[in-house]
Amino acid sequence: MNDSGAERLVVENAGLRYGQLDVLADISLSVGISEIVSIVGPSGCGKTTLLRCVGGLNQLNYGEIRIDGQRVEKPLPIVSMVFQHFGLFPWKNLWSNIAYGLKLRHAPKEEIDRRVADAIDLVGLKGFEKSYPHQLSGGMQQRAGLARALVMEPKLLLMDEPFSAIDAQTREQLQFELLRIWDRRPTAMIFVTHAIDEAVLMGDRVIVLAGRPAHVRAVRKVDLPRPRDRSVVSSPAFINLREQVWHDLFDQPGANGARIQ
Amino acid sequence: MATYSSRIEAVPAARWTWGRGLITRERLAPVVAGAVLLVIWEVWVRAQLPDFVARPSGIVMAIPSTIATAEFWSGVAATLGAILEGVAIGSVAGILIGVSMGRVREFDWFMSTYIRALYALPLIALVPIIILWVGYQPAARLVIVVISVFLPVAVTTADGTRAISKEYLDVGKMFGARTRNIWFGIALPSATPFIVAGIELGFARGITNAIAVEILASVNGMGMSVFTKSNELNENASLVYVLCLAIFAVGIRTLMIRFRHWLAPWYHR
Repeated sequence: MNDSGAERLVVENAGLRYGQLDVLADISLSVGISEIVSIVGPSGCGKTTLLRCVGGLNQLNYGEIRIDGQRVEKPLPIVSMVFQHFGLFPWKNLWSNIAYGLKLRHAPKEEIDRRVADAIDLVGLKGFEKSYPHQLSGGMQQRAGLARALVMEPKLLLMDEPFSAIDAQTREQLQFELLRIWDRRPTAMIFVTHAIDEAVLMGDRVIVLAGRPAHVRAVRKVDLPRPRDRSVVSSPAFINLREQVWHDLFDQPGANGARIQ
Repeated sequence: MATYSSRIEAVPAARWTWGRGLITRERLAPVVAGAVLLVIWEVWVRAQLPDFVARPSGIVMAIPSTIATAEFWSGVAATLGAILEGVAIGSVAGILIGVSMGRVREFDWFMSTYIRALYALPLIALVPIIILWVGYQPAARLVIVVISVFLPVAVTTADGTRAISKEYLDVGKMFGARTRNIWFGIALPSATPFIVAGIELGFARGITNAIAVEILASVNGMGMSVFTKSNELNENASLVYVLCLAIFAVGIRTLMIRFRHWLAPWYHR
């Protein structure tokens, strides 16, 4: 791994333990300036923990995380996160939820108004500015969660299983919308998921995290054209990759088949 | 676009309804129960008991003469004024101490035992002592009301601000919230339902204890009038005051429920 310009995020030999329990061991990875890296792994394997370390919400015990060369020790303003359970404040309407980060940074009022309106437009929530989260479906709440992250114009976007708490049809809709939004504003992104399809569909690379403690078991390059639409899902390349990642995840180490490309 | 759900819950309507459903069986039931009780009371007093014993018709007759007096209005103003003032002071103090207890573990270690012990104590036991300390005057009533409100508000605010969802805290940290933003921007609003419940409880205790002070220390107010009218064997007038206190207590409760729905519309109980 090198730190030379093209990498937005570099994780080097990251390790973390809770008490006696080793959670992450010796994880190294990097994410390019406008690259989407999917991290897939079984539930509870530590992928969310890794993402939280990148976000500065958890601390590593050893190793290092750098974003644009800056060591991550607390949440950095150039990083935004979309949360699994949306994390919208129920006492704020959508507009105020989305404006939250800009208000904390004391951005000028006109700028907040303009950027929030743009973000609301981008995620298709126009007309719902005054609605409160409890009045909206899960899919719409997560659109707001996405807008709240995008409005900060982050250089690195962290997605923590963003669509796992949403029904299957809406999830599919949101996946393609996220791809469409990314095509308009390419940015570095880590997409954590436990769904193999989703990992392959979103990522330029898929990192398979597994084991106890979690380590990088495989890295798969996703050579699917962008912009990606629904036709990608039925292409032989997609199906082939999905199978490979499935084997990366579920084959016992030492069984037949290559571990790392 | 995902579907918009307005979460309107269907309530099965009672079957006997008149006048566009304003009068339902459910609303009629307490009226009927009350009427029956009043009739029994009236008949029993007229048949068995001496004339000075209060009865419903007597109370109604006593209303005009009671509320036409200066004593009545000065009493109402004194009691309600002291309660509202005490609730205001006690709530603000309770919220500040409570949020500190909820968010700073070390502060909670120092305070929690004593706040909770006082909270569990029937405060009315302290009324005689506080009257001795503060004097036989309105200030004693205010002190008691402030303490009555402060304790439940501090306890519920501490519990509510301690139990914030971890995801809210993560969102705050991720988007750059400082400690002050977490206390007043996340912890307090998410604890609103708890805090309002504490104020509601404080109101109920505050009214009770204010009346106790008025009776024990002869401080001008509705409680003192209840006591003096009763001593003058004017039970009907005494009960007019009690009726006013009941209306006030029920009104406050209704207002507090509205207040919570308005402040925390997401919170359903």
